[in-house]
Amino acid sequence: MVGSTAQEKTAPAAGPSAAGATQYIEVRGLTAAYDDKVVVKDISFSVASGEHLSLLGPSGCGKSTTLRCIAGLETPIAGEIVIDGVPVFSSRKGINVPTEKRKLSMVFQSYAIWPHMTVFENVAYALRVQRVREAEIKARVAEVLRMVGMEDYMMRPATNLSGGQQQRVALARSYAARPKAMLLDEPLSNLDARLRVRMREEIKELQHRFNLSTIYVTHDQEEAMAISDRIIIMREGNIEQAGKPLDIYDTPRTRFVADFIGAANILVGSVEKAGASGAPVMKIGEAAIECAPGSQPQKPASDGRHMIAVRTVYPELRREPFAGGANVWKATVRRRVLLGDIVSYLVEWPGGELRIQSFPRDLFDEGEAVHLHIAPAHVIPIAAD
Amino acid sequence: MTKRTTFSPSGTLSRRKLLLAAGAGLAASSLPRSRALAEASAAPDPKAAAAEGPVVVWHGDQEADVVKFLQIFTEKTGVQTVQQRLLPGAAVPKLEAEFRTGNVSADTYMTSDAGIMETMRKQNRLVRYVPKEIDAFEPMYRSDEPGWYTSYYINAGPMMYDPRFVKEAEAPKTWTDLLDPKWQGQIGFQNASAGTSYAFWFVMRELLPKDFFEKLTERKPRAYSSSTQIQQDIERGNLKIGGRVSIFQYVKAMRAGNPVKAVFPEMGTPSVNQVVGIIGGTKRPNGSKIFIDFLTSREGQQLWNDIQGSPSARKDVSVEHVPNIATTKLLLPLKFDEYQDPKLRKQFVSVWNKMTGL
Amino acid sequence: MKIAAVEPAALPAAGRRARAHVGIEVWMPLVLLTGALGYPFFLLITSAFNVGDPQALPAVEYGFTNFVDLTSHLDWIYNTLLIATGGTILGITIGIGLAWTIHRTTVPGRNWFELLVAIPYPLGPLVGALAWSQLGAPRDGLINRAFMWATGGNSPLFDIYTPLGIIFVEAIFEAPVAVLIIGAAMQRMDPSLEESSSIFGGGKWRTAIKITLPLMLPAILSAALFMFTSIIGSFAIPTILGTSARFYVATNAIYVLFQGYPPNYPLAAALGLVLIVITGVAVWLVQRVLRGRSYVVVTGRAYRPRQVDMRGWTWPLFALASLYVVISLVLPLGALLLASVQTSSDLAFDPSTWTLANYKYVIVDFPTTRQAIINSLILGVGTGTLGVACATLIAIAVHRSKSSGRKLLEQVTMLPQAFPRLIFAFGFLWMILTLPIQLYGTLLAVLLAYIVVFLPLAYRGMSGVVVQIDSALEEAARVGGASWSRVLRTVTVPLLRSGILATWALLFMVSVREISASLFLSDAHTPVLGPAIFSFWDSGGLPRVSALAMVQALIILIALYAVRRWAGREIKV
Repeated sequence: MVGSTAQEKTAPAAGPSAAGATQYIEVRGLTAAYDDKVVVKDISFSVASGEHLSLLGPSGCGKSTTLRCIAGLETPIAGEIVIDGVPVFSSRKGINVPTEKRKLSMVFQSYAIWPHMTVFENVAYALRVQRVREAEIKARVAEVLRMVGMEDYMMRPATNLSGGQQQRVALARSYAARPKAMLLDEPLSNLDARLRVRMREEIKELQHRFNLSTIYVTHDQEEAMAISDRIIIMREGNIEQAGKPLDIYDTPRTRFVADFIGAANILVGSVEKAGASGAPVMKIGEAAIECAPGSQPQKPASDGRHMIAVRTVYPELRREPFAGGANVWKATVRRRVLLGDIVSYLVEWPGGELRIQSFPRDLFDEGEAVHLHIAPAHVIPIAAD
Repeated sequence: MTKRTTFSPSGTLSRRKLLLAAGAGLAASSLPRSRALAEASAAPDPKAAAAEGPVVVWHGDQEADVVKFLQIFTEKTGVQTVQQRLLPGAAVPKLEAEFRTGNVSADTYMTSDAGIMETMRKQNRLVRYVPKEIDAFEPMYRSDEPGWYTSYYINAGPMMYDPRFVKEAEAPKTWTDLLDPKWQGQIGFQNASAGTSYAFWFVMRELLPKDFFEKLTERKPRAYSSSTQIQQDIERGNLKIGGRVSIFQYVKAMRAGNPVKAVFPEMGTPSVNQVVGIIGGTKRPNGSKIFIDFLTSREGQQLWNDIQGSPSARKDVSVEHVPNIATTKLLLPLKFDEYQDPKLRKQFVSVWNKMTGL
Repeated sequence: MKIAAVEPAALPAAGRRARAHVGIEVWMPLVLLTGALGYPFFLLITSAFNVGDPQALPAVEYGFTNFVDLTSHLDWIYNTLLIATGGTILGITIGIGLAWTIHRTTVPGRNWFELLVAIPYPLGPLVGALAWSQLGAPRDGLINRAFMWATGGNSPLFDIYTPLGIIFVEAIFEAPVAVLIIGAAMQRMDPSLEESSSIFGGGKWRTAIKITLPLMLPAILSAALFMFTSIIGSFAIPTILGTSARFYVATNAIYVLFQGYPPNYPLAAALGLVLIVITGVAVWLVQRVLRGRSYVVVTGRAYRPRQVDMRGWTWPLFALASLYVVISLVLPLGALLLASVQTSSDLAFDPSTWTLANYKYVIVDFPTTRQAIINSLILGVGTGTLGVACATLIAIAVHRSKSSGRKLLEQVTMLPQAFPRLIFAFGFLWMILTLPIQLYGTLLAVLLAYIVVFLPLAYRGMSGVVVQIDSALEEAARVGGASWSRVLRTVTVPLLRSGILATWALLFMVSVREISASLFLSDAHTPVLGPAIFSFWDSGGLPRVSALAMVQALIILIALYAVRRWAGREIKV
């Protein structure tokens, strides 16, 4: 959480209520449809003041629609949206505040930089709408452009800017408006990989400075992990899991989340008995594997078998045996792929095959006999789809 | 066709085209005069006519009338025809161009402008053929030397109005009545492309006060491209006075039971000889001659003028509803040499265009 | 988009040019087109400066007298500019309103409107002018009669035989082009550009004026340019509605100058040259304004435009769109239909007096019109087929060939757009007369003229299609071992099919309705519909000319219907 960091002088006044309110944006029972096809199904969540929330999911999961409903660009068929204590949409009360009165900012996937204006005019647009004095407009535009490193482009026409530059202008335009909250709809997806990494650092930096409540829509889990205080994973119009990035990473609740976030081995087997710690023990192939303490077997697949997820980074390999304890086996390295910064092994163990990622240090050879240890804390029972 | 048939200043024709034209064939005009005359009276051969293909008839009349006439003509003579309506301004340049390329498509021309025919005669662009019944036409209704062109009807041009929109008492009685300011913007004439307009100006410029056309210009008369349109606008109440409307419009209106009135002032009614002739370089001389013979015959005259509703130049032809031209003073352009003078024409076009607001 | 096609290409550097290879697919059409356009134009210029024998071709004496003479007829030029400007402004306003209503609002019946508002354009100005002369004549125009009957007075509501009336008729029959061009741009516009305006507090009006309008500007300007040039060259409307009211624009003045004897070609040619210069200046101006603003064209992608609920404005907009359909389609066709079943030009409303004799007369009995109908169908099919073939080859050469000179070829192809067709037809006639081959007086001459004057239209249609098709698709087929002709047959042509059909239909329709280009080129052996209708208007009487105009309208409507059925909904005119 970055909500407690000191506000920059230049940061917009988030309004008197911002300080006290914990839930700045609240979405309750939101349901939205396109042409009779329901794409968002009765979802509820909230964003705390200054919190940076990501809506993450594959395309078509309803994340963008949710964001557009909050912005007022789509009209939901049911539910309620409250921003800063003010309901902007309520199907029950018949409230639907038009977009232009919601005082939000948004960065679009296409950036939506107006090509017929200069960079300055783009950024000044919202200020002109707000009837800010011309002198102040100049000062504020110059300031945000300096922050995004675009001050040299101020008087340039907005055409012929590169993708990254357009992105910066779009961000500057959003911050200059001093909105109540920021909405970002896949802002980096049109950039190349290198620039994407850089821009997401910059967005995070700006986010810290302005300390605005932010909803960030992306299909890129790495981006969501890197940038967010909290992530909501959506799937087919529903919320699959919500939580802090690391919690979701460590304890995915479903096979979908385990697959979607990071890389995991999905092991399928049957529940054998409760282990010494009271945690369940699963029978995977020939191996009995103890699950994380306090965990419970989750919803089984249709054939009655249960699933567990083991992140590829957590299993340990050694040449010498581990000193006893649970979840220790002998194994054989079958494949080794060097990926540069990391090395990926395919290991044969009593439970079948396991994919493990580690650092390119003390490399094991293909065919080498090794010892394998999976700490029970990293063996997470997950629900089948 | 030879060099002599192409009337154009030297230099406008390339060598190639001259050669082309020279090789293109023979024309009556290049033959010795006596032979030409003999040919001019030679009777057409119906068999040869059939082999020549359809006779191309250019005209400035109402297409429907011409087509009706031509259909009967074909039934009676077996000679096929194709017709095209071309006002003099369109027909003559087209002919010019065709003469230049040595490939003339038209065979006969029926026109309101005898002056043009006279010009063409001077340019050796007509074929002389003396119709069988030429003697039924008084000298003023045929070319000075008979056979170049002959009248196929007399196009008298009275004023016209519709008593539903103009009371008889108010209607103009004589030409100078047109200058009354109450007709401001309410007089219709055909535009300068009509041969009848030229004839109107040609005969009136000497009979009427010198400033007549200037004053008429102030009344802002409206230009139409055909007398049909003038007549239509009169009947529809969009135009009060037809300043000069072809007589057959009046006859047609009477036949249709429309109450239109024609005014034939005492001083006379400007009229034209609508004439027909054969175009030089025709590829269908026999068919053309048969056509001329039929159109100028008593039967043909009766037929044509019945269809159109116009007076014939032949005394032995009378048409129902058509006012008796014997009792009406007609003002016909007779001084053909002056009538065809290009300079005079240019003056007319300028006066007329100015008058009709062009 | 028109402007994109006309836009001057950056000339390749001289050094590169010298080494550049000009392929046969480029130089062949370039040479042919340059000849077919350049020679008539050359004859026109020589005639305009001809001070000797007015009928000499080419001229022998040169001077500026004709242009000096023109200065006493500045009213023609002024009037031309007046109706072109007025018609463009009104037409663009209608076009923007309709495009907006159809593509951007939730007004009911949008799909129907999209279909219906496209029809007046192919119906054409000749039909429009004839119909409106029957609707808006001051005394007996149907609308004025209804108005006088309703008010009990005898002063008409309006007079169509006025400059304003001409502007009105020009505008409603050109507006469909604006709807099409502006509508297409609306569909190409990224909706987030407008969405971001509302996000930043811009209301509907501010968004419309500050964002949408400027973004639509290139499309609006190119539609305006299209209308402006086409009204400058329009012949039927000013001739039918203006001449008898003493209102002369360049085209009806030229017509009279040609018709009168002796015909004043040099003055007409000089006037025509002035028109071409005016058009050229307009093209240049629009291109200047648009330089660096081709952004709307940039995204070839089609979006689903954001549709705005106009709330209280919904029904007024619906009413306005309906009104357009009524004045451009229902009333004109109704008036023509009514007049076509009459026995005289005096309209009778009693159905028992109505007759189909006029139709029988023009279709069966009267040889000229019968032949004209047949010829126009032949010309329509010929222009459609050959026009599409030429345009496709040129489009492929321009977009696919690596040869230099491609851009030049594109520009030359689009050039006839800037020539008023009446003027061009005259130059073309002169050219044909001076050619050694016997083309004059054949349908082939008319066909060639049609292909040349409609090539820009055909090229625009085909080039849009060729560009859209990803060359990757073609290459994929070729990698599969297919020969070039096989690729063309199995991949390219099927992909082009709907575009080909649409362009073919468009060419068919504009050929059937054409008058300016054929007025001087068709003759006794080769009557065609447009001039035949015009000649009937001259001297055939109202019922028959209406019947003939209805026949023309019916051919066009049937073609529209057929192509909709066969080629699906993407067909637009």
